[in-house]
Amino acid sequence: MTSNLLDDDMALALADLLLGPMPTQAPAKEPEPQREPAPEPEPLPLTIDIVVIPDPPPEVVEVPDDEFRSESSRWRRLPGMHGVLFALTIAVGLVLRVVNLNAVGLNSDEAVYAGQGGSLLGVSDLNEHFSIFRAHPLLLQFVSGSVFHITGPSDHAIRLVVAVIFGLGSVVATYRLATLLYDRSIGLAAAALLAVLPYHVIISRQVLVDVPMAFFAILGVTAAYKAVKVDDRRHLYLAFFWFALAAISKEVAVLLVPMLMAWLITGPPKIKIRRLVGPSLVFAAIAVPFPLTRLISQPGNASQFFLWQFTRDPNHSPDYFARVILQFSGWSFLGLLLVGVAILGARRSSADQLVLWWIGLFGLFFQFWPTKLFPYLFLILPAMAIAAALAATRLVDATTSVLRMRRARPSRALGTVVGALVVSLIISSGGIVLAGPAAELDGFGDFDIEVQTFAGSREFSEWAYDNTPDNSRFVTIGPSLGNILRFYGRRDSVALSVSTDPAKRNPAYVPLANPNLAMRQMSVHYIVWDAYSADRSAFYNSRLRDFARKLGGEIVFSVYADGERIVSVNGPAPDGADVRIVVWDVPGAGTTTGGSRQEGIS
Amino acid sequence: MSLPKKVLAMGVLLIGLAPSSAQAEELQTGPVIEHVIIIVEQNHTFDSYFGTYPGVNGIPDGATSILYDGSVVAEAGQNNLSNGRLAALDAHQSGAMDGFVSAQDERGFNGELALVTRGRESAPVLWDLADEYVLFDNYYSSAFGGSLANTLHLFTGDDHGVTADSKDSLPALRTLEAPTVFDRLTDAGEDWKLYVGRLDEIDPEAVIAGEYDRLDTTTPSALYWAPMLGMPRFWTDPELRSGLVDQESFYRDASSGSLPSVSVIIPQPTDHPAGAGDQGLTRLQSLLNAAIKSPNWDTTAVFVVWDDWGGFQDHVAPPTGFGFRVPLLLISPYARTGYVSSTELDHTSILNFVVDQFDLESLTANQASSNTFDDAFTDQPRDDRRLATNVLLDPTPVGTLRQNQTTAVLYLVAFGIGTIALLALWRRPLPLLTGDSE
Repeated sequence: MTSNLLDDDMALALADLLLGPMPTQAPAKEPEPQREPAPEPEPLPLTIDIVVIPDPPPEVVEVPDDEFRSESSRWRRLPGMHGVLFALTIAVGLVLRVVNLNAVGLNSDEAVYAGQGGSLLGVSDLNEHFSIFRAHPLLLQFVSGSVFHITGPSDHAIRLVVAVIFGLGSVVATYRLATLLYDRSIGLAAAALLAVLPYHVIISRQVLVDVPMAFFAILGVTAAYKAVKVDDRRHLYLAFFWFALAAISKEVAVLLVPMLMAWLITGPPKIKIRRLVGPSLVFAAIAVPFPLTRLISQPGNASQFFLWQFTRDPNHSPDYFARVILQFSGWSFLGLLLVGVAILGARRSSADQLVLWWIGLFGLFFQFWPTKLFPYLFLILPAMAIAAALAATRLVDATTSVLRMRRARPSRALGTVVGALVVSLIISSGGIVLAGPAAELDGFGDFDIEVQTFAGSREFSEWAYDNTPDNSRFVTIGPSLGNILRFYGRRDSVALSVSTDPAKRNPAYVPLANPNLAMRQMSVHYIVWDAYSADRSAFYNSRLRDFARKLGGEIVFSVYADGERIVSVNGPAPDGADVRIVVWDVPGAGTTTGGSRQEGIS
Repeated sequence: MSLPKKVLAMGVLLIGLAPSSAQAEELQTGPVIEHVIIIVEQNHTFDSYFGTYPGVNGIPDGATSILYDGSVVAEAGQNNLSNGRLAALDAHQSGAMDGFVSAQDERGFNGELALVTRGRESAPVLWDLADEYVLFDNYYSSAFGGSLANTLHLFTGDDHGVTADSKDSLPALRTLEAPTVFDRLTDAGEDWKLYVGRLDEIDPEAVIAGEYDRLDTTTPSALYWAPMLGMPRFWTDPELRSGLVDQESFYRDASSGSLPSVSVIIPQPTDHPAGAGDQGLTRLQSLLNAAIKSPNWDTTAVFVVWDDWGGFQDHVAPPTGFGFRVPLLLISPYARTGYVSSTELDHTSILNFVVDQFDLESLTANQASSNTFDDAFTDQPRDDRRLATNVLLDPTPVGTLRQNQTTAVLYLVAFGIGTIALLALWRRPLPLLTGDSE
């Protein structure tokens, strides 16, 4: 039946619909840059490479382009069903990002960023536990510290701010960008996909630097495209301003600048590099203080971080990111993404190339960078969503062109296809959101994602705050739990797995050259075992438990979970429950009396 | 003034005079001590540990002393000094306090060792504790001589004529019927434990049979450091016997929050100069940390006391009836911070504190008349709770608040400059910078 429908003409039509007009043609829905008649008498150029453009008065730029004008006015008055669907997208995105948001405490990275924020702006005594100079710049930390000034060091408050402003904000910004690049349908589809993609939901629910970085990157790309599309160089300044904010969120966003330059050189009508000098100064003014202050205040630390970053051993196999996308976005999205990239590559319109550069440059960088961590792809997820939305649109267009013979309605078909995909993703995301502490156990373990912190770590840290001396020091298997302990418990820690080799060690951590001696000499006072770290390192798991046994540790705290939730905190082990955290009080000085036998002296 | 106004005025006056509920609550609060821990260390004078500590009655200028740097202590076994009654009297020189070296030399010990004093470098934990809590610089041992006479004062309120640390004293100890503080506690229904290092090395049968009196046996030192261990009834009476436990039990009891009302610890290793170097101080630190970590800590007072002078010099002539000064530290959430108490005290003061704290029947007139520790406590517990810790491991590196805030200001300025530049260039892009000038 189907094969009968796909005759040669239809196949050609299908290819045309899938790919859109060929690159030699004007891009679909992307008219050549042109300006409306303005108060200036000179006609505006079609290209911007060699013609000196007079400074337009601001009012001229307000309405420079039909499409942009329609986009911006559309922004104000979303018509009918489109507006309803957009509102629904935002509502669902919001629910997925805030429900059960604080069921589990901050994970290690979140605790570091939140703690740094408090340290930076002098909230509570967090400055005694967190150095402001660690792996990344400090924009998110500034936000954290500012929020904490109002709320106190509240994990829930900062998660809400990040999830709503940057996470959900990315969805809105992606809608705007995709609408500007293509059309409203693609904008809505991209926003809907992004709003419900488990990968995006998981990460935007966390206090991670990737979230604001991606948000500002979308804004920057939008401004850059607008600068070219409406031929208003002022938007280049804005683009670099947003890029700078992205770069001071996470340094890898510096690559947005070469990405933009590559696109400007290869994509749209050529643009002089000199045009980027001014915007670059705006970028530099904002972005440079971070490395500068760091080099000045802690030169040794900075160079050690540099050494560590560039000599780290690969931590995952090359297929890591593919598996991440597959696991946390699904086959459907991956398929659409691949089709979308193929369409982009085949068409290579100006907008297509921008999306391709975005995905390609960062995708290659992350792929070849030795360290691969779960949130890295978050930066290019908006571009991926746009590509997938484009593919969905084209596939539906192609399909309905066939079905049109049967009076099918393309918009309804598109809505049905994207809607079905979105619903399936909502189910996946919702499952993760509602699973809370259990989520890490069910399929997350392979990815080292640290998105659902090990259940009980917040409870343990709060116990430590309430029940242990202020200057207590804990030893853990790995350093992750220590970061959480510092944020909630304000207690210092060391980890067995921290290397004594500076080149292989995060300089933020102190190595334990002789853990046995440190415990016997009472430089360390408690031993903490956690299931999460134990699973990652059998060797240090064994070592830690040996120390607890040899040093006569007394169990003083424990957390049990039944896979769904914490079932016992500092109580007896319920039947069938898994132990998640155990704390031993170690007396130090050994448990044997030691020393020489003393008899007959007084 | 009309009657209603008078009534109103009286009412206002009464309201003003009556303590508010908050004030009343404050009035009712005070040191809440439910657990007393007494750690008995060995053989040091006040000057030998705190003679150079700032703000105390320490070694006078010009007095001879040797600051410990490890070189004086040669080999294990060569560090001991005579601490007997006769040596003490020779050192005392009727109050001249100038016979410490000769008293040792005459008895074949290294007299120079008597002049050794430790500083922050060589006794960091003790000095840190003094910084944080209360140090007593007018606290005396209760008798000239060694452990037995002094610990008898500590636990019974008198030496009962037992003055020598020798086998000759053991028979008298076995037949001593004077009540101890543990008897009083038992009678009052208060729980107690005597935590003894190497308790398993004491043979109860040998104590009961008097075998340790014989010259061909070696007497465990613990019998002198805790005289109850030389009293057969503490081994035969099940109730008393149950209070004798090994020091390892202290860690378990502290960790689980089940410390008794009174804990007496005779640690091993102790910091006896004939002992194993600084292992005694390390053990002391470990015991203190266990107490500070304990869930019982909020209502605990720890006395760290040295039982006798150990042969070391001290420059203060003791009042009549007392032995040389020995160190005492009070560590408690209710202890004043960095306070040096100069109240005249001796071992029976600690006993008196226990008697008073748990409403026990007095043991002796000495105990009942001894001064107390009132000036050393505060009404409100301190906010912090800190372990005696070694700084042998670097802390996790952090910056100072000032550095952080300076960085924050710098960032804000940079952000402001960038934003202003953006706004300025938005309104009027510079042709030179935009490449549009030609």
